[in-house]
Amino acid sequence: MRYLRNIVNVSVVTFSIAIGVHAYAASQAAKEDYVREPLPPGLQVIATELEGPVFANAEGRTFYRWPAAELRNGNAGEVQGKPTCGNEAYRESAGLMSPYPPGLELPEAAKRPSCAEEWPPVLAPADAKPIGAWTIVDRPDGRKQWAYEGYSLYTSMLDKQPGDVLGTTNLLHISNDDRGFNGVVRRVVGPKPNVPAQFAVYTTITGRSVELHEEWSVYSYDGDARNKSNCYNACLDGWEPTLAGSYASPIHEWTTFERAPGVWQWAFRGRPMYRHLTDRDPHSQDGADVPQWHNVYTQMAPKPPQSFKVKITTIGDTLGDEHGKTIYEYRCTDDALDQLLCDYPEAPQIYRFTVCGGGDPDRCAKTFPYVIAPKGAKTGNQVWGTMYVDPKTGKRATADQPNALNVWTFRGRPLYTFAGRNNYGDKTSEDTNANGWGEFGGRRNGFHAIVYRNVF
Amino acid sequence: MNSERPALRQSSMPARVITAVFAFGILGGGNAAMAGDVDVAPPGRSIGYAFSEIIWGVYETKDAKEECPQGVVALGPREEYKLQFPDDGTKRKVVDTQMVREADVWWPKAEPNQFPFREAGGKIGIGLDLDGKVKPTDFTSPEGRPGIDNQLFRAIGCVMNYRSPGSILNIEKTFFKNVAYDRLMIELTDVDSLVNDGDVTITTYRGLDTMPNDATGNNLQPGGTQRLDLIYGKSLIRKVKAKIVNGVLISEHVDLSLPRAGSTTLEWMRDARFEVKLAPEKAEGIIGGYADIESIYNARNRRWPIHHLAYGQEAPGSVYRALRKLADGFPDPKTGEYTAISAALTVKLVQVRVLHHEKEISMGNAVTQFSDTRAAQPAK
Repeated sequence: MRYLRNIVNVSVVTFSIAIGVHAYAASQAAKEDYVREPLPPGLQVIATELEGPVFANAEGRTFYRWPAAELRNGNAGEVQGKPTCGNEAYRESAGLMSPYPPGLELPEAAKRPSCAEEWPPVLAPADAKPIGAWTIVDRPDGRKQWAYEGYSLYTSMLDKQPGDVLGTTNLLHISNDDRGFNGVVRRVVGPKPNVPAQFAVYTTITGRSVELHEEWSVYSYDGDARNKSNCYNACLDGWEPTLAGSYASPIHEWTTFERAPGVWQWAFRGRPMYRHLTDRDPHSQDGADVPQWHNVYTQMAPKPPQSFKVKITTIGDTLGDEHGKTIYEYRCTDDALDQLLCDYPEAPQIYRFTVCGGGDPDRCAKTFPYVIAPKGAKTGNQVWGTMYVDPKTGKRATADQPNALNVWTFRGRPLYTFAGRNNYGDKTSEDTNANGWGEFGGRRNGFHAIVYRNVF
Repeated sequence: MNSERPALRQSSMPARVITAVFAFGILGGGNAAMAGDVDVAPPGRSIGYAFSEIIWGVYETKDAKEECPQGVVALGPREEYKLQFPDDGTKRKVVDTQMVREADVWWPKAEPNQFPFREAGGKIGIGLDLDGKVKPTDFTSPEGRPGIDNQLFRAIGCVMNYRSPGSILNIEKTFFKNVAYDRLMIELTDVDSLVNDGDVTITTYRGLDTMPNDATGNNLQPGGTQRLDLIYGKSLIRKVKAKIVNGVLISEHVDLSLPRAGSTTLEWMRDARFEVKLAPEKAEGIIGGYADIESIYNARNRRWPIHHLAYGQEAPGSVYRALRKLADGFPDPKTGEYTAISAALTVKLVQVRVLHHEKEISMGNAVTQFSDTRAAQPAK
């Protein structure tokens, strides 16, 4: 198939042969191991499909924190030890997003939840005791709240069942944008991955990617044996073994082996690890273009619906629907001090309608149509799903509601395609023109293609 | 060059010597030979160049009085907002203010602008004569050539973001040097002379590799190698015939899609033609053509954050209305409205060695397989 893509101008491939393919994880069912640490009573670590192990309360609700970050006209978020997400429901904009002034009444202001309603604090009992990285902070209303590494902890009103991580995401392609473009976003909080010190794990749309701390991808080679490298001589022109100190001890799924006298190399689940010397950027998948070489994941992310495809575009591999149209997600945070989300159907839809239709829902429906799911479609995971929406209001609907559409979702939010023109004069099927369609390059309020492989 | 075409080489210098001169230039051994000074034929009859700069051609004088007699545009997004919604104590809503402004960014109307907008004027403009006519709206080039078609300059020439001190202009220049998304290249083939050759071929590609730079970080250096992005950049490949006359590459018409890293999208230029002065190490000149209005508006005004546009007094809706008003190319077959605007890109390029085939790549098996292994493999 890979030759087809070059020779026969095939630009779309289905998921059965494409997604997660540059990957090595023991199996689709493999789960990420984490560093055990003492937990306060009643709290737990649960496995999630996209974000790996996360901290959760007794009911399995994922924990989030809200680190402070700069916006154009000021800061939002929290510093360690000082929760600010309170019970006040803000009705006016804060003017944090230049060039618009503060003091404007926010959309659907009367119904706007307070920060604590959208992000319920993880309350600690009066007799709670700090343990390890877990401390207790005082909320403005006098109640006690759990904090981890100093940051106050919250759950999300969007999470409904254990394993949901719908409040926000640590996905690289989104969190890498976190320089105030997205607004000040929350972060999923979990235990440290159980990897040697020189490695780290990042959330990507294909899985939890094992990388070096400097964010260079690591790879495995099919030509190797278990805990034995066969990459020598010319092979080393392209690959650098990830070496371990001779004193390094095995860590659960991580082992070391002596590739040459006195030279030790790390292996994960028995597979020797390497860096690809010509990777151009951090988090790269370039090395996986070489036959028999694969990016390494602690766990794979759930695959999108079977009918979805991977498209080749000038920005990389993007997700496409069954007709090959690029699939977009919608992002939004509002301009209040508590930076509430406006990217899900229950939030005010005027933000999205403005971007996709100049305020006109009908134009939105034509320009950024929903990705329709077959009736009764199931994905079997919590990342990809379906929901009924009312296209007139953009709100969630019931199945029996007239004109309700059953649409595909990602992280509990509807997906869209773009029906506008491309920049080739209709000569190609590339339709990523809408990538970045919205305010702050679409990050604060706008549409983004779902990119499976960002090559730039 | 095919065998039936008469040889156009003007110099009697043996090919071996010519090649040596070329190599001397590439290696930076003193002052590089300039085409026009010494006739040089590139090794293998081909030479590659990577663009180091592509910017809209805006003729600028020191005080801007010549091209912007009313002054540069003073009303950007911030200033227009204040005019539209004065700070007079009125209690306002996001929906009635910010959303209205943003709707005008994403869905601008072509109707007359409610805000004063300053178009560029004067007699001089950068560009090419695209239609072979000298019209009242045309400019004269700084060198005195009449009939210059560049109505885009009239639309944006007094907007600070497009002028030398402009915030976005300088960010885009930086991106263009450093971001591989923008690594647009041309390769000239069938070249027997960089001075005069009546039949050469230009092929555009996107490269994959970082460009060598000088210690300042501001000046890309010639002589680097570039692998070809034949997968993600395949749609950017174009071929067009050209000739070289007195060291100037002059092409036939071709539609170009130009990557813009600042917005990670493409700008579409229709009926583009090159007029670029060649040298063994570098090239410089103009690409003239008709810029597709929706694509250039999309790449710039829909994608750049509004604060960046505000820094350079670039109000998207006002720019859009100016583009529509001054459009002069490619009428819509149904409505008759022009969809494109005459424009010029000033371009700078540096020589690169284009790596076509795996055999030319000596960096190890990791890259030798690159061009045919982008695609997916079955999941493990």
